[in-house]
Amino acid sequence: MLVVDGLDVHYGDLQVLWGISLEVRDGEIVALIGSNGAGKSTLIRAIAGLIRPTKGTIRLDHLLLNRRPPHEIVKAGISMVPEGRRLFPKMSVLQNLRMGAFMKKARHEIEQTLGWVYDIFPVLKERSDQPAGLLSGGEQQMLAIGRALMANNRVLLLDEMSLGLSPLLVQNLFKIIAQINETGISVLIVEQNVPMTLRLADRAYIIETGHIVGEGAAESLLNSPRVREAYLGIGPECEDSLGGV
Amino acid sequence: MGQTLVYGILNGSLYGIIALGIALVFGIMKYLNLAQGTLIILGAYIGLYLSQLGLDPFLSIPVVMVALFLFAAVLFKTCFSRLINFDEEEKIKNSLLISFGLMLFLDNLITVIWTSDERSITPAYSGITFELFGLRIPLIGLAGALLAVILILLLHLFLTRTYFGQSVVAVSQDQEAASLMGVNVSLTFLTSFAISVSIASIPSMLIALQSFSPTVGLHWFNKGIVVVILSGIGNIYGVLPAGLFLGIIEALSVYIFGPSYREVTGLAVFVLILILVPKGLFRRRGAA
Repeated sequence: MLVVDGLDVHYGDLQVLWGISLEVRDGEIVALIGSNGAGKSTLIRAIAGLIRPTKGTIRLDHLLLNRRPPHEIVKAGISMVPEGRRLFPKMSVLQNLRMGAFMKKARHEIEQTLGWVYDIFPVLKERSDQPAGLLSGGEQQMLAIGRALMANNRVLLLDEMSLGLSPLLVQNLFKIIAQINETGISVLIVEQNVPMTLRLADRAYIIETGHIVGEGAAESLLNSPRVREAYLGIGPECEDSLGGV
Repeated sequence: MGQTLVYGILNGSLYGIIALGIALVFGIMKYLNLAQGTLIILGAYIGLYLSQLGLDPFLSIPVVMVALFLFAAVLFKTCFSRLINFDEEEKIKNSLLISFGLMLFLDNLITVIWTSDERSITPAYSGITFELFGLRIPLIGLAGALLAVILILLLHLFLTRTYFGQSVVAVSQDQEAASLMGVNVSLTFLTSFAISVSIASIPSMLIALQSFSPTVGLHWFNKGIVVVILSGIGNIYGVLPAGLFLGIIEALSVYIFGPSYREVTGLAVFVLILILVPKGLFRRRGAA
């Protein structure tokens, strides 16, 4: 179980996260929703070790993770698909996937994991020799997710994976995330696409200007008037315009 | 004419390996290490010390390599490690300043230890040449060129065939993403810097067999950086051909205009190429 407790994050003198607490239980999909600049990405980056929190703790089971560099957090069992995909553009698809299994424990199982990832994303197998930079946006996102899966970790952090992709592709990716979750991997997802995310997730946290202002079962949040108005931009009268998974 | 080309090629391969150290550091870490030339000269002095103890210059290359590797690791920890998480532009500016200071410091430290006299190592075989197709080829120059080729092949195998090498390539393409794969970026930086500096042991020895004094480091750095830019910044496979290009241009200039215009012609062609092909001669898509 991933537990964040009382987390503060500063950018220089500017405080951007205030006493954030949340948890991701084993096998759960948890969504972080909130408007632009609310601090969603900052939070997920802090969990991955890319930003050092000024106060509070991050634990995976009994392991204390705050103040550790990113490579140690990956070793502890948390993988991240960063915003903007961040592939190694000049490396081939296969080389990117192999880099995902850079850790010693993942290296031992690399052939099996690779087979599993190719099963999930058959297109990556077809393109395995192409440079990652030449893939389409959707394929690049699949590669980014596949690369994170190669570490064989229990927790997957997804930062804005639907950004810049077509709605159809996004729907497919959401289905795949659900599929990955069924294998027992916990998911913490940050998304702009609130309705779809809430339909995918078990629970969700609402974050506004660096504070957590609400949490609950995803389904009840999806139906709460406040969420509908603030994040879906619709009142209760226009039910049908919600995109669905 | 043919003889001129031979000297151009041999000199050019020396420029190529000097440039390799600079290109590696820049390509992987986005650090510009102005002190690379001075570190080469430091290696030459270590080689001189070893030759006074009776060790053959070529056999002393591995010793100098290890010495420079360790020294570079300490330098990195003390001077360069703070820049790791800066963005690219800040890295270039700050590493330029730090390495400039380092260069001045080391130049003077070397002068204090070994005096400012011009030195050279002259083993028994230093004048030996042999004939091939009617051309005289100096033994030491040829050995240097061969070492340059072997070094680049080894480096290529290291970068493409080993997990650690692949992590170095990954860091050069996206440092943050590499850290999310479990790559220890600080350690990769430290090792890459130390390897790049230890490569200087080969030019160290080749220069030691010609002649050197404490302050010529910048001169050799200049040759190196010209080659790095000619080859296309960050491209480590272009440095050898670009080095040969500069060597041959200089040699042709000696042949046509006389020795006093050698540097001028080299730099004039360099400026011309910057204007015509600003991205470098050997820029290509591919690893690192």
